[in-house]
Parts: sequence; structure tokens; C-alpha cells
Amino acid sequence: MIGTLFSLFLGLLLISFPIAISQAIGSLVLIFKYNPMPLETYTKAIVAGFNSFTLVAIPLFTFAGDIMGKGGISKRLISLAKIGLGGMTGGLGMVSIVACMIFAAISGTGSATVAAIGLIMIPEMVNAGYNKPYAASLVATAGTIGTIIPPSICMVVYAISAGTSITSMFTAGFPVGILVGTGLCVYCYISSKRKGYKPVMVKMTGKEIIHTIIDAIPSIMVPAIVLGGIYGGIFTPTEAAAAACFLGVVISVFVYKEVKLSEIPYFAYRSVAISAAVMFIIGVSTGFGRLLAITQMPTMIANSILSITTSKIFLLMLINVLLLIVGAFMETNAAIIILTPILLPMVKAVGISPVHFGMIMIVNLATGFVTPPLGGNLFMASEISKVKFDILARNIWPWIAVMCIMILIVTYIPVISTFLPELLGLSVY
Amino acid sequence: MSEFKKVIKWVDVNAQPIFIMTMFIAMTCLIITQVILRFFFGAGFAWGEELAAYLFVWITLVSIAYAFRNNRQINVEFLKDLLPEIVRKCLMIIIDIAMIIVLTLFLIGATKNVATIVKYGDMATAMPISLNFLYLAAVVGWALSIINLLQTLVWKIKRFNASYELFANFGGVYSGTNDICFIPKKFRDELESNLNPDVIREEREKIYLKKNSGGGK
Repeated sequence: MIGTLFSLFLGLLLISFPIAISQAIGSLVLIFKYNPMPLETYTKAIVAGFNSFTLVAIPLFTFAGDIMGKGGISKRLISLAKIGLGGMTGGLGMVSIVACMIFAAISGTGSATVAAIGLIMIPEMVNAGYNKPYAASLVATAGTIGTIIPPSICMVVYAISAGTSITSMFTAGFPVGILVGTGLCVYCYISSKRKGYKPVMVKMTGKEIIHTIIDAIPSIMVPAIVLGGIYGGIFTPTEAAAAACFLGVVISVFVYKEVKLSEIPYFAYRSVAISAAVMFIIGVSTGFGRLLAITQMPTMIANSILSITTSKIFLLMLINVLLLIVGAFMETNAAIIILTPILLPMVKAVGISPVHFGMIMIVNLATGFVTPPLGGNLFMASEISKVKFDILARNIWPWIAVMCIMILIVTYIPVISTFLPELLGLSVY
Repeated sequence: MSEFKKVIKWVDVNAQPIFIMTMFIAMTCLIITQVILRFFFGAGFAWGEELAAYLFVWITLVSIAYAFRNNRQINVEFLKDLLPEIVRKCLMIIIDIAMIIVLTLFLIGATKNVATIVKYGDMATAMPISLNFLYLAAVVGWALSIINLLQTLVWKIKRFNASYELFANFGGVYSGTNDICFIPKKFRDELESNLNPDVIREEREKIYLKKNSGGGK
């Protein structure tokens, strides 16, 4: 039965059937051949899967990130980052990375982050003498932090699939995101020194500095309210997402005045249309998950792999390799939905906390955003910088190497992921 | 084009986006109101979350159907891209047919769910309405998906001899999907600047038809 389901699913997937449809065909064949549950139960599970107030956060965060990306917030964040870092070697590179980190606390996806920061910073770096493919790969990689620092759509999807708390995941993402950002800054400093990218002196008077800070305050307020509200127990993550939408509209339309009120309906439509395909996979996976649970497949797969090895280090290494490969070929949220129910029982059996595992998974799959042949951030960076995709794909490897080091650190030092949630008294199980 | 046909075309292009857009805004406003009420007056409506989730189910199912219309489902394409064009085209038609079969089964299941709820009179948890306000969304969503898929299938069969770009019509860009009535000009221009002018001409002048009939005669 396992054989039928998975070989059918993988086979259809590889010949380019949509992921959700491959899953559905696998499930339907199983239902009609072995009759583990009636068709009605399966279709009911799909609707029941959608009927979740938590899931609503996904289009809401997409909307908030989209409108704030277009609404002039990125510009202010970049000016803010420049005050501190502009004068260092590789300064503009580091400004881009730090601006991505701050923007990540507003946006929930990687490619939105790349677009928001890259549109401004790639031309600016090129003007300052940076090699264009270098600048584009820098922003593409820094954009991955968009899914690591909360709010993050991938974390919402993971928390739903794993049955853990979104708040715990959002808390754990902070230190991990700062770690990854720091790692990228260090590499940026070293490589800029070698390439001889001189610092750009940003001469600012005290008055200008104060003006920049005041201008950026509304942008910083959004993450402060949204995340503060979640951690302080005032909002559920979904309500926080709605609050972010509200603040995003107020700031971009009335404060910075870079979006017109008449454009809001289109942003609304677009955020739903973008999330639709992922939603379909989530729904079909709920039915798929019900089937898996009835047939006890995840336990069987876990047991058969654990009979080969029970070494935590080796098992995590295997999973990392698997996630990197899957991340290179598959859409991230789809990968999370499909792999979590299969991998989680295995890692739980060797004593890894679901929150720590979630961070491992997210950093791995975030790296998938920049691994050719299929990486959302690479496509986005190529589109906005007009650097050809294959040239970008050749220049990205050093950055992927840095990400791999980060993956190893996050994987083998669990305390990075777990100390902050534990400090705040949140459960990591 | 006759007036009637124009109206049909307008509804065809705009109905689903307008539905998605209004429901999304309504849902977001509901959640925000709920938060404000709770924050300042200490209490929201008991049914707020449930209604928001119901609206979300409707939005989701209609938007899934809409994604079929524009060939926007997520798939793994790198192996397919290695195939010769003609094989790729056949494969895509086969996939469309397979999807229609799967969705028909979904529709049958969803209809049975609705019938069961009618039979037992199941109610929503917090609102005094039938649970079918939720499950009817699946019937509508899957039926709409099938209609949208049939449309794209007809498009593909008609343009089997056309260039691959026009045939595949990724994102529905060549079938006029972006002519939504509320799209701001800025965004429309941006989308149109990404289109291939050769393919637009191919569609406008129906070059693929001439190629076909020329071969036939």
C-alpha cells in the first residue's frame, strides 16, 4: 500500500502533474483499491482542512508584505540601515542584508523581500562599483531571511502540519534569522575586502540622521506592534496578520502616500491569487494526512529508517541532504506540507523538539530558494537585476556554501532555536 | 462582437476576481473589527472567528478554481522541459484531462457531504446556520474548477499548432485574464510589458489557424 501511494505520487510529480493533483490521484487510487475510508470522508477532510482560522494568516501576511513592499517602507528601512553600516568595507552589501532582515519582520516570504530591497539596493551597489551578479546573488540570499525571521508563511504552514504552536515557531525564528544574517554579513565583509569594494562614505549631518530615524518610525512600528502583540498574548497570529494589513494600508496610503486607496482591491485580489495554489496543496494534504494516519504509514517509515540508524547526528545529516535536494526542486510550502508528517515522527523518536526541527527544515528549504534549477529568490533577483538566470546560478554557489554552514550550526546546536521560546515560557514540544 | 457576447466575456473575466477581492476585504475588516472590539470594549462577537473562517473557505475554493483557469498550479517542471515540444503539449493535455477526472470525483464526494448534512440537519458551532454554508463552498469550488479546466483544455486543443508559449498560456496572460476591471493602470502596464509581442500577434491574427488550414488544403 505504501508502495502504491508513494510511487504513484512521485511518478506523477516528476512528469509535471501539479503537486496537489499527484497527491489526490495517489489518495483516490488507494481509496478505491483498498477502501481504507469512503470518498466522502476524504472530501470532507479537505474542506475541514481549509476551515481553520490559523490558515487565514497566510493570505493576510501576503497582503501586508505586498502592500508594504510597494508602499515606500523598504526605502526608509534602507536609509536607516545606512546610518550604521554605510561606512564599512562592503557597507552597501551589509546594508542590503540588514535591510532584508528588518523587512523580514514585516514580510512573510522570501521573494517579496528580494523584490522590496533588491529593486533599490542592486542598482545602488552596481553604481558603487559592485559586480552586478555579485550584488544580485547577495540580495537573493539575504532574501531567504524573509522566511526565517517572523512573521513567516512557511512557519505557519509548518506549525499547522506539525501541530506545534505558531507563537513558539515565531519566537524561535528570531535568533536563527539574526544568526543567518550575521553569517551573510561576515561573508560579505570578507568577499568585499578581497574584491576591493571600497566603503561609500555617507556623510550625514546630525539633522539628517534624526530626520531619517523619524521618517522610519512608522515602518518599524509595524513589526513592533505585530510581533509584540503576538508575544504579549494580545493577538492570535491571524489577528496580528490582520492588524499588519490595517497598519500597512494606513502607512502606505496615508503616511507615505505611495499607494492609492483605489489600488487596494487589486492588492487584495493578488494576495489571494498568489496563495491559492499553496492552499490547494494544504487542503488535499489534509485528506492525504488522514489517509496516512489511518494506514499508519509514517510510523512504519520511521521504524524502518530507525532500524538502519538511530544516531541522531547521522539521521539529521541524512534529513538535511534530503531537504536540500527537495528544496532545490520543489515549492517550499508544498515541501513542508508533504515532508513534515513523514519526517516528524522519526526525529521525535530520537528526541528532537518539533520547534528545533521546524527551524532546521525552514533554514534548509530557505536555502532551496537560491539553489538552481528552481529557486524563487533567484528568479526574482534575476528579474529585477536583469542578470541572466544562468549567470546568477553560477555566482550563487559561495552564498549557498555560507547557507550550508548556517544549516549545520542550526542543526547541531539546538539551543539556538529553543532558548528564546523557553525563556518566554513557551512550549517547544 | 455582439453586446451579449461582450457581457458574457466581461463576466467570464471579472466574476471570480471580484468575488475573491470583496470576500477577502470583508473577511479582513471582520477580523480587524473583532480585534478592536475586544481591545477597547473587552468583548467581540462569539461568531466572528467562525464567520471569518467560513468566508476564508469560500475565498480559498474559488481562488483554487481560478488558479486552474490560469494554469497557475504548482508543479515540478524540470523533467518536462527536457521533452520535445510536441510530447510536452500532449502531456499537458493528458494532465488537464486527469485533473478533470480527479475534480469530478471531488465534486461527487462534496455533493454527498452536502446531502448528508441536509439529512441530519447539522449546524455550525457558533452561528445559527446550517453547516452547509461551509460545505456548499466545496461543491461550488470543484464545479467551478471543472468549468475553468474545460475552458483551458479547449484553449489548448484549439492552439495545438500554435507556439508553445501561446499554447501553455502560463498565468493566463494571453487569454486576457489580466483585463480585470479593478486592475490599476500601473500594474496592467507592468504585466503587459512582460508579454512577448510575437505571441500577441500570433493570437490576434490567429496565425496558428492559417498554418493548420494551409496544411489541410
